[in-house]
Amino acid sequence: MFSGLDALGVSLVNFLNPTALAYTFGATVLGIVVGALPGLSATLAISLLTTLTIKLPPNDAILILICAYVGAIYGGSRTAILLNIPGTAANAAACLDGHALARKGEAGRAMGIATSGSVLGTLFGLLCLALFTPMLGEVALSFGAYEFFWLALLGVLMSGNVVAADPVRGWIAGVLGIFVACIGQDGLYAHERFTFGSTDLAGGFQLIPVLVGAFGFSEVLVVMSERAARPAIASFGSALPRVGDVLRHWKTILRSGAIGTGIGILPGVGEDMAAWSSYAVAKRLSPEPETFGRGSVDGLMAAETGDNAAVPGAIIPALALAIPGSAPSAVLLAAMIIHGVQPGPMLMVQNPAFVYQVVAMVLVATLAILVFGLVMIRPLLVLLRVPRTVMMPIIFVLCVVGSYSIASRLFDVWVMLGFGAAAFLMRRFGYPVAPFVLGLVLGDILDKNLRRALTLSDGDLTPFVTRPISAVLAAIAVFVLLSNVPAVGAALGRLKARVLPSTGGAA
Amino acid sequence: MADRWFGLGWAVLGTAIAAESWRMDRLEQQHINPWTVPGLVPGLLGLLLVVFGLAMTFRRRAVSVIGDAPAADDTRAEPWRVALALVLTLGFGFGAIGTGLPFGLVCSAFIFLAITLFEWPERRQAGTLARGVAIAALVAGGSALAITTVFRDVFLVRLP
Repeated sequence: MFSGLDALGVSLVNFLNPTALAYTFGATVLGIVVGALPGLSATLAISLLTTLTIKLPPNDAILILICAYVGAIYGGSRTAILLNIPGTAANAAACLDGHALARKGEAGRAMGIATSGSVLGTLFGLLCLALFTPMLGEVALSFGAYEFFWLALLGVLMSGNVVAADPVRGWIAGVLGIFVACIGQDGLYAHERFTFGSTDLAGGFQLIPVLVGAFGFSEVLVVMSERAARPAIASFGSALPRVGDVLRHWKTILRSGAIGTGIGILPGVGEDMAAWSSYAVAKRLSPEPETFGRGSVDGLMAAETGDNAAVPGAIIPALALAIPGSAPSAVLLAAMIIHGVQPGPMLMVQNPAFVYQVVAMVLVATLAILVFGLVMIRPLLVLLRVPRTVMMPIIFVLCVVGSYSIASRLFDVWVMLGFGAAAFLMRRFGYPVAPFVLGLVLGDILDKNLRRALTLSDGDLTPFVTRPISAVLAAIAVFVLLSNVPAVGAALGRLKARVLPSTGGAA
Repeated sequence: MADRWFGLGWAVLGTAIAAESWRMDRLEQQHINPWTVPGLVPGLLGLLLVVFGLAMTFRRRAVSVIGDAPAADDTRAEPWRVALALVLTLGFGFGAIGTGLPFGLVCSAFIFLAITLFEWPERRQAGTLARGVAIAALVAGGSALAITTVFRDVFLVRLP
């Protein structure tokens, strides 16, 4: 416990130098800007910045990525409040009450609520990150190949289930992601799979060009293909967070922090589900549920606390298990591996100080969003007025240069273009990109651990469902799959109605 | 209806992946454990694709789908914009870079063309075409210069 505090203190002191502070401020501002611009996501910010920071020392590079991550999830609330357009998917729930407050002439107050909710939510998640990562890491030391196989599969299944309007489409996207991860030399025998004699494919697809394509280039295509009017921005008052708003809604903040962090920890679920779940629970427990959607402070506080608490939450499994909690944390995980950090159960044994460095990074990022949340309102409004037709071609060029810069190979640019165009088409036809990315990141873990587990059991499948943790994970995976079979879903609905007859329509 | 065709497409792709995995070398000459053959996981993934594809094809009702990117009320994809975006970006990526032309030049030409062509209808309607072209040229030149300088001289990255 005290050694953890000691390590955290040392990490914080290490960040108190001009270079680290400059990186913190710059990356947080960039994250807020990217998050605020509709169409650009936290995943895009982290993917692009990974390519730009590839030559920096690992700690500086990861600090930049975490600041951009925290900044982007927070920044999206600005456009949700002012324009009724969520800057990122995580801020969609904030539109409901945030914009309703703005329409009442209370946009400044709404931004203050979003800022206080985001800061407190991140701090709550941060506390859990510091406390639970070492614990989870310790538990994970007892995990074997069976458990890691189920965790990887569960991450893809849950992401597909939650992110897509149609789970089958989400699962197909996830399976495709795992399949793409299998292309190239396999992890056990270096045997080439699906390379068709191509030397470029023998090394497999580099993760970052694929991610830049799937999240960067595809988003550029989506935005460029839509005509958008210049935003009309409502007037607003002071955006200083009000102490009264925080004190009156302390229960909502604590509850949403816990929900957000918990959902963040679930593999592959992500920040948007954290925001919606926090919002739904706040509405169900509110004495004034009818005000939700009409400018409820409680609703906005719940949504913004929930999604930001999910950020440190999603980093917990990424560090302790090497299983990311969300799409942005999947990219963060990939960046850590590129920079020579090996997340997973052995992290707390081999490099325990790194966990506290990450905690310190999230803490400085949180302080930075508090500062820039207050001072960056007007510059952000100017940026929001820059036409997308000007912004998007420049972002595309950055995607190209970023993909090329990793290994100075034109093949990586082509990979970025190919996967970007494919992701664009997938999105047009309702296939979500997040499960694909989760599948891509988790594919190697799933592949190696399934084969290792089968080797250990000599082809016997029973350990997959008889080891205690494995059995629980298997049961959840089967439940996720079966709950989408219409007959099973209807039966579950009837059961829920019988057990909870009075609360059925509250949410 | 589209669901059915997509479902069939996924089932065909899954079958092809499973078949290719089955044909894959099982490394018997290396005496590896048969449960670790390289084609095992891709093969299972192929079969999963077949199952999901068939589920999509034969389920009773098509599920109404919204994309994963929340769209604003005032936005709508226009076919000419989609085509132009694809032609410009893929043309730039596959056809222009790496051909020996200076990256800064190719980059500024791409940005200039993209801004000018995408703003063309609104600019023509507003009678500000010349102004639009001038702004596009300024933005293109400035951003190409900034990108090449920052990447080459600050991040020490080779440019394509």
